[in-house]
Amino acid sequence: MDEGEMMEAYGDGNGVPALFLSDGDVQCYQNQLWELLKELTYGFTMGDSSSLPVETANELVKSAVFCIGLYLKSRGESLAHYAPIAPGTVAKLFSGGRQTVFDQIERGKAQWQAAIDTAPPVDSISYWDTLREIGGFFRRYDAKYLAHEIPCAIDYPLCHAVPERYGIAYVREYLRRLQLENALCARFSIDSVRQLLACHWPTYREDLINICEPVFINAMGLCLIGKDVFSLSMTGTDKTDLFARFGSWSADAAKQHMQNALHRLLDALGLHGGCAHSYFAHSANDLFVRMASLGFDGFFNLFVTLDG
Amino acid sequence: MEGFSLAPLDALRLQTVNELRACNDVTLGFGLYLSERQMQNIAQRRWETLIDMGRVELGEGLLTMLVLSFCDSPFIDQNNYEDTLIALVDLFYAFKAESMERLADDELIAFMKERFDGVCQGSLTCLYDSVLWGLCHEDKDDG
Repeated sequence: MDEGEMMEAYGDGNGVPALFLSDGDVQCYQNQLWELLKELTYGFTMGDSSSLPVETANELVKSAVFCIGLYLKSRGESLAHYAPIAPGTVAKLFSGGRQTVFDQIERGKAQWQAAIDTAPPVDSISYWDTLREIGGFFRRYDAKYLAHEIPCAIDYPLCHAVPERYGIAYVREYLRRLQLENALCARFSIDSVRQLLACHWPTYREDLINICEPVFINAMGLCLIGKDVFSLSMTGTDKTDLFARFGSWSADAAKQHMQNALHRLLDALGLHGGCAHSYFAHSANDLFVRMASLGFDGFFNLFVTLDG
Repeated sequence: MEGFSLAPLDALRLQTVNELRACNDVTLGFGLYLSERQMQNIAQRRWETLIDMGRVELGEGLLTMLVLSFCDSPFIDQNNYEDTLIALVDLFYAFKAESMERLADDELIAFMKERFDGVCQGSLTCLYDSVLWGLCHEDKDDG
């Protein structure tokens, strides 16, 4: 659930739902949200306190709205579906939302385990620290009162960062993308991957370097010139060849060649399915933009020649 | 996401007045009684204190707890009842913040009452210093 969707549930940040609700429905929604907040406060303070700092109350509201938004999204609905807002609507949506969060936690745990199981055996500190942190997330995550928070440090950079999201939704999307990247890297020999990383960025173990991106770039380069993608190594001659070819294509032709290469690459790697194609189509587009903007030297350095 | 708006003033005012009105039945036995005007004034001051302190009042019963805890104090009489109650509400919310929410409402009120009637001998200024000192030393004792 991204911020736009959360705002659709929460509104303009002042408890006022956006769009499609009448003034009367807005008032009903606010009143019911207020009643929900009173219940949450009682639970959060274990009945010990009748008042809260505004900041804490805000966080409880954000959490509740996150849950409601997650529930609506899971059902393909919006608040407008519930207009006019009947008594008990917000409580019902929140209850559904809380259950959705709990369900997502279980799925997230399974995704996390799968990410560990499929992780490329590359000694990247940030990669493994991040996986450990995500394990800690499931211990620290307060699904009842602070479901919008992400109590862990996720430093390892993906090929494509998760757009701003909240709570378990962010973590699940991060793990989904990580698994796609793992799947791509797993198609190549680990020695080739390690060698490529070492040639691409000698201090990759210590630095925040994405493992999948240089693998994908080289594989695409090889695919574009019709060479064996599994070698993972672009020689100087290969780079010169690719530069010449790319330079001779019109923009439209280059995009078409990139799309075709992507299809061939994913087919060769046995990565079928819309999710992989969609994700790596994004990578292919990014690669196209970089290739189109680079001169020969930059182009040459974009692809990696494996030593030996 | 900007700050969540505080409880609607009307609802809080009504809640406060209702609680105080119910308390009158008990406090009358101690010679203490609030008029409607005084109750409205306390409600307004409470609202202002919440805004100043950056707090939101979400539960019920706080005023009742305060009144019933302090109504038997030898240092509160009909002349100073309204002002003392207003001051106690102010101090309560200030102490909640100072204790970083670690003290439950009833614990804090009991602590305040014990100090008010004891070492402070009814002085609100002393109560402020004394409770703060107590909270700080509780911090140190907790390590």
